[in-house]
Amino acid sequence: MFYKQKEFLKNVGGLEYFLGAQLVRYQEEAISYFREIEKSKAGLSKIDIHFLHEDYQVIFYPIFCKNETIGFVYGNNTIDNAKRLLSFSSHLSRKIAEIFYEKKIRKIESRASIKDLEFESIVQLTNMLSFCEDLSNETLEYILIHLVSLYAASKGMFILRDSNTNIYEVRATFEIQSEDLPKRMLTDNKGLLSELKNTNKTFLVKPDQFNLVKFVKQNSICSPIYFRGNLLGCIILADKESRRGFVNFSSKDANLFDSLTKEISLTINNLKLIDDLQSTNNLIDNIMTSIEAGIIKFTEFGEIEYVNKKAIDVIGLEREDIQNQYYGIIFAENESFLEVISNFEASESADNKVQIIKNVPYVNSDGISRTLDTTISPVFDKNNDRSGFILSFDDISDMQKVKTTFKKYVSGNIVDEILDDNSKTDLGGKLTNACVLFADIRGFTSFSEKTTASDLVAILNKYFTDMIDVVYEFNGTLDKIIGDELMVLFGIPNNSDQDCQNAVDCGITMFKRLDRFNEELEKHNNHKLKIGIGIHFGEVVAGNIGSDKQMNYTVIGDNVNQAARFCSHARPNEIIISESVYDNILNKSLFTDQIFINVKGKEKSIPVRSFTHKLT
Amino acid sequence: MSKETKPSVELRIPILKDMELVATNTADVIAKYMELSDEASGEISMALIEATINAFEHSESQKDIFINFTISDDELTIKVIDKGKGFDSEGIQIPDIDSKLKKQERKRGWGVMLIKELMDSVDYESGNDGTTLTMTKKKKNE
Repeated sequence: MFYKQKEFLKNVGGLEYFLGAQLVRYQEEAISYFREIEKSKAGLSKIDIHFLHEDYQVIFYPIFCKNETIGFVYGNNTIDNAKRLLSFSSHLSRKIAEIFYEKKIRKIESRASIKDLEFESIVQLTNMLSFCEDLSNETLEYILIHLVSLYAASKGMFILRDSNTNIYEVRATFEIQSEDLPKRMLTDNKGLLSELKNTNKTFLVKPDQFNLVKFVKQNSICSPIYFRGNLLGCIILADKESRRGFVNFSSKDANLFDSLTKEISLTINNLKLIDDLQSTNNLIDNIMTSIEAGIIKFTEFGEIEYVNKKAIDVIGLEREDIQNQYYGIIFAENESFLEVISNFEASESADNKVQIIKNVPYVNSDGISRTLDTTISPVFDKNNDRSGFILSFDDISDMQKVKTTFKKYVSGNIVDEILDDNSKTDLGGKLTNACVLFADIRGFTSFSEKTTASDLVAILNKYFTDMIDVVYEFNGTLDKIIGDELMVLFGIPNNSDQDCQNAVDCGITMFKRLDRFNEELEKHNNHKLKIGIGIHFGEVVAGNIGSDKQMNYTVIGDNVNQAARFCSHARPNEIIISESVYDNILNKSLFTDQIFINVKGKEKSIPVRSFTHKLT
Repeated sequence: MSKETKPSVELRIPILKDMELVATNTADVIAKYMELSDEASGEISMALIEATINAFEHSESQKDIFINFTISDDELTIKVIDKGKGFDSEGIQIPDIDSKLKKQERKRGWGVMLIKELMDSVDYESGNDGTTLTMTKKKKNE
């Protein structure tokens, strides 16, 4: 590199050499002196070295550059001139040294500024990532552009896997022509994505190495993005720009990029979790809104954490006014409802028991009243600690209305039975014990001949209304009205040991009520209605009989027919009961001893007892 | 007779990157020493860069080049000597300025034309053992 001083001396020549404090007369000596100094590796620039030449007329002062002699300042060897030349040479040496210092400093500065830039970019990236709110294409493009500028890349691509379809999609690009975008579906079975999946590393990719990066001219960095241990996508930066055109990304670039994408991965993981959570929330919200039941979730401290739409409708306040409020405030006006919640809270067994309370009245702030069937169940967190409770309720106000209306037409017992158990509406039947009562009007034909049709309907309606009231009083079920005949069931749909007693008492009361009815009737029509009643207890088939379109809940069987026969045997104001009824009543003394009657369809005569009503 | 030796600086510069800066820094110091104007100093530096780089390129011998500055009261004479094979100064092509500007190679290749513009006189001596370019800058007394 630099030639040696001794060689330079040889070239320049010289007569007398002043080497520091020494005066050396001969070149050879000066050369060997330099050799020694070289061996000891001492710096030469500090040595006040100069030499004379051409008959001592010219004096030479060396110029140093990096401890080597690079030239000389020379001139006339006069005292003044020598001084000037010396200061000139040392000044020059200093100036030349400055070049290299400056260059060194500039190099360090530029390296520092690159590091600074990298650091700043990382800080910026971190800042930027903290502001990303979703996984939209805009967000990904934003990240990509940041990376592209950080790495002075000329192109970039961001690929993410769709978690529903598992197909990789190009979600953001930078300066990539549309014809360079992948034409086929991207999977991680082969190619670059497969490589990333298997190696789990950031690596440098040469052009033409993979089809996916065919747009690359120089080289590219590809870095995987992971989600819960699975490849979620990758970021590709291509063709680093420099003043000399495209240059290769270095392994240093790849290392930094690897750590940056790890950070990006982390952010994307978070965003994805938030995304998933959001869609789960939306799903739950949709489910909650679509269900008919009202749902209220309470915290362990009695604060309302969540209400669904139905619950909001019933409560009659805005969601914001309900959520995060203490239930005692929201339900202050509804004592029964409040009790339902506070009882559950207070109960010791609330830890794992579900509490069901029906028919809870609720009046909201608009004065609309409802009837609710409530269910409260505890909620447990993942550690199995109780974290609150959920109250769900069915608004049965409409059901109540239906029931009330329905009961005008059908016995309330049957309404409840049908509404409480859907299976009861299936066609079919079951064998059960029932007490069957028939009552019909005696001498109806002659009565109807004497009365106008409209009067007849009015009279019959009044008669049936009165009689059916009595039936209901004794928990009877009105089965049907056949002309002037009433068929009433006791013990249908639910048996009780009072069924026969109720039937007998019902029959006796019907006579009494009929007396009052007749009093009225006599005033206007000068006529009386008389009825006969037959009651029998035995096994019947009960169920919905009919077709899909119309069905009746009724009973059939020989025992039903027998009750009807007893009725036709009964004289006016008489009740005929079978032995099976008699065995099940308390007021046996009202009935006669056994008498035997012959009924249609039975060969043997049947023992019965009778009761005769006497006008009081 | 005592021979008058003008104050001189002789540099022997290896053909290495950025070594032309050693020459220009030296020229700067000399220009200050001679109390030349900043403008003149700049022109000398620019001419010297061209001459040095030319010498680097022409000197195929890979040897060092020599630069000699001779200071007198009214002018500075600079000799750039390379030991490569010489060239014919008559055959030097004047560069096409427009194409040079378009190619954005402003730093390089202006060569002799530029040196002639910048300095007061330029002279070549070229032979088989190398080329010596001698250029002078006159000290103007304003």
